[in-house]
Amino acid sequence: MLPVSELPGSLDFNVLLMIGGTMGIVQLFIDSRMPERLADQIMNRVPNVRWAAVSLSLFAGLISAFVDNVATVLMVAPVAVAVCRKLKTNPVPFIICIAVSSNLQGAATLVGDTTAIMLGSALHMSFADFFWYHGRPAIFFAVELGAVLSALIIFFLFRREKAPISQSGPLTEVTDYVPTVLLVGTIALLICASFAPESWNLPAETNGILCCAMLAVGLMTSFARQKRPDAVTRPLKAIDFETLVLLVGLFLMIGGITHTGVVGALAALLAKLGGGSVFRMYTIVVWASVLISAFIDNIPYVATMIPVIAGLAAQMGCDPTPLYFGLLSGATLGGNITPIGASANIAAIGILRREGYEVPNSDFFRIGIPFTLSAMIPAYLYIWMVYGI
Amino acid sequence: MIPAAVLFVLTYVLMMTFGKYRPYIALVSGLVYVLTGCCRFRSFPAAWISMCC
Repeated sequence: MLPVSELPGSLDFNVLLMIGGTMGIVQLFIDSRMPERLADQIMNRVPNVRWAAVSLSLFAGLISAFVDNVATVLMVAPVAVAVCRKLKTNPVPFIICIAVSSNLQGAATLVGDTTAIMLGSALHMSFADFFWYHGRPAIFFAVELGAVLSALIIFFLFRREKAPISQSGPLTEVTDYVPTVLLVGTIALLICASFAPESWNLPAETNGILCCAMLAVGLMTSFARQKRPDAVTRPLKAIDFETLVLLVGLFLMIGGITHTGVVGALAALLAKLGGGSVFRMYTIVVWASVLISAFIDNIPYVATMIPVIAGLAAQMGCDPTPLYFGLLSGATLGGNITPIGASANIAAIGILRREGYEVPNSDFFRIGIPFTLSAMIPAYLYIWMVYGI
Repeated sequence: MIPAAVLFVLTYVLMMTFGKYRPYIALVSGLVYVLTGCCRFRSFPAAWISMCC
């Protein structure tokens, strides 16, 4: 069902290398304690609990635009737990807001989330293309529009939390500034790669190679500084090899169903459902993605839908951009509706459980549903108005 | 096309049912696609029939 000759074309090595490289760099970044330092600085500047909740959520979102969602929650949630412990307030809504904000911003940049990396690689999008694509403001702005409106939701949810925050004490000491430089440097290199002229004929795996090269630099400097084997093994162990294995399997499966014509048949069926209307098709893709991602992991779903949308756009003779952007935003935000919709949600609930707090589904829905709608509706309208009309 | 679609749906159901083993289920399924591609899956029934007759 998948000839060996089609195998190299089915495996997206750029995605695999990018994910592996950035995961390792992020672990070095976490180990340096820079995220805690940044969170402490935020806490020293906010007047009360309400602003602490909004600030930590926005900070988690900012980090998540460049760092994996689960890693972001693992970094920022302990800060929120410490703040809530001092103030003797319930940490559950804080942590949920951090998780949903992390999920939202995962679609903002090329490196924000695995699904963004997958889409970027499929469309040969550079880092800069997430900001400006085909001469128009791109998906980054759709996400930020949603972030602004959903921040207002968080502000409203914490409307009764006005207890002042006293000075938190000394700032967390950063153990090593090199990982921060590496993370910023990786992003800078990805931006520079996006401006490389076509005549250079850079390989498709350029972004992945850059990320792995920066990781190699990080490992070498970490080892030179600490002179211990775990300076190298710990960041490497942080690479989620199970996700990489999952992706390899999915790529092979999708190569198989593409080669055998299943994808083409599915695209034809969806085109029929759309009735020839691109707007109807866009609406179906967005809101079906939101609903499906609420219950299943968005990585397999997006991996499957990318070639389906390519076939669908070819059948309908339309620009696939709004469909792809709608897929990414819907699949990213849908995970915020339920506690199981995203790995970051599960990580957040795990942290709360360790602190002795059980999270009823109703508590999650109370935040997740308004957050998702307030972020998704403006993004849905924005993408159509900029790319659909 | 139908066996490919059936295998795909079956894989998804297994991945959702046994979330802990999801990566390995996907990998095995992917390898099945590759092996059947190597061994010309479509000609299996014809090959068996011609062997038996």
